[in-house]
Amino acid sequence: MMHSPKSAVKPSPKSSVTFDAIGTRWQIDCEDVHNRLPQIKAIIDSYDQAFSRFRPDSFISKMSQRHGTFTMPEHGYELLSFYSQMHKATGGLVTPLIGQTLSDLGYDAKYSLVPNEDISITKQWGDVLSFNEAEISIEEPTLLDFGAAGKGQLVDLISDFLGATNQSYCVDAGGDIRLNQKLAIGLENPDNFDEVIGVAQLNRGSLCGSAGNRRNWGSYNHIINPVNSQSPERIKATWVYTDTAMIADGLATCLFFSDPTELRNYFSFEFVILYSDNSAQVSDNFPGELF
Amino acid sequence: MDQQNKKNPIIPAIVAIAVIAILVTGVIVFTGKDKEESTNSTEQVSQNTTPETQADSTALNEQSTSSTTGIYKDGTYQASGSYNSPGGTEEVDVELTIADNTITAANVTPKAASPTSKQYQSQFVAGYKSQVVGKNVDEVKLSKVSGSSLTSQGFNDALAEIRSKAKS
Repeated sequence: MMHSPKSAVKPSPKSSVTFDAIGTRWQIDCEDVHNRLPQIKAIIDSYDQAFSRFRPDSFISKMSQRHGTFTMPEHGYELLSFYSQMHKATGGLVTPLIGQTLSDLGYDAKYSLVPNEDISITKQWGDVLSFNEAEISIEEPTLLDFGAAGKGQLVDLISDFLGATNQSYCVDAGGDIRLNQKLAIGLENPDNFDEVIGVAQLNRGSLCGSAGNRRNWGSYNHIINPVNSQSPERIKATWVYTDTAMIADGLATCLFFSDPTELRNYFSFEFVILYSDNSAQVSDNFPGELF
Repeated sequence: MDQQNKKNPIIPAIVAIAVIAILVTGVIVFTGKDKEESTNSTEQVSQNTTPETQADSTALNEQSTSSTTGIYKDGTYQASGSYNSPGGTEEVDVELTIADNTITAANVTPKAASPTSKQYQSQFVAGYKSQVVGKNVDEVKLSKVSGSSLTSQGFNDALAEIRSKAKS
């Protein structure tokens, strides 16, 4: 399990591209990444077109305008199925229905970053949203948000595309990383970007982090508890290591709301949690160390 | 921090009590061996009951060394322990594996209801560090850094604007 396929261990640091997309900075390392960039960009664009709530022409934006039953976009079933598991595992605290609340708090398509006077109460999943492999239905116009795991899924799609030819790759979407080559990855100190509080040694799988220290405004950040519309304060940062970036990305957010032991009834993963008092918890088999 | 330092020892204490519950007052659930042996094991353990809670792990050691026949059947034993926290009564499940009168494995499952207790119980269960230290990225050999996702220029600009408005 912990070994990369034989053919896939040839790091080639010289082939690297960096660009901005879906609201973050990407760096992709892979041998012929320059030739494959158009296809990579096409994967990103088609994903963004479906699941971004920051562009008015997206599928998600369309669903915020009118209710009804829609054809499930590509990769949507996998994403929604994972969200439905996270929703269950966190007792409803991680939910795509947080979209309108986030937007009202100021994390909207224009980045207004000023909370409205009235903040929408997050709707209950069972009241408005249902889906199957082919379709997704909403009972009333609803702004969904897939920010907790969408980026991870996109990292997986690109990783699968690059890995299909048995090449070594490292896909890094603003610090959410999936790779099949040996790399040491620092765990950023959320209070000081020049520092790391630990290091993970990886040769496969995905490491994703979450913290409220970049996307924050006023007393809010992009992680919002739907029950009280506040950002959790007990935890400063989380990191999750597991096979895929979608799951690592999503669980990094889940850890802000749920006990890791609880989450492990649903998912298999390793983790680091940095609490607000600078104490930290590391799972037994996390591939790395804290300082 | 102070509060936490005071509270943390509660959990190990509870585990110790749960261990005693398993070893002394009887076995609650037995897995790994067949039913008959499990019944025997319960009886044998019960015969050696010493209800003093002070007995602790020293009692186990004494019994282990003084016995020639083996007091505890090999196997996996489970018990629950409870304690009072400021948030109410909380529970932990303890599972012990015993081989040759020695505890070879112990698993604790936190069952706390309140978030605070959950945190303390989890801290006891998994690796826990009371204070992490930041090291400068230049001191550590790294290929990459992972943290909160980098933001786009658009977000950064919006944030800068909001902050400058807030100051003026």
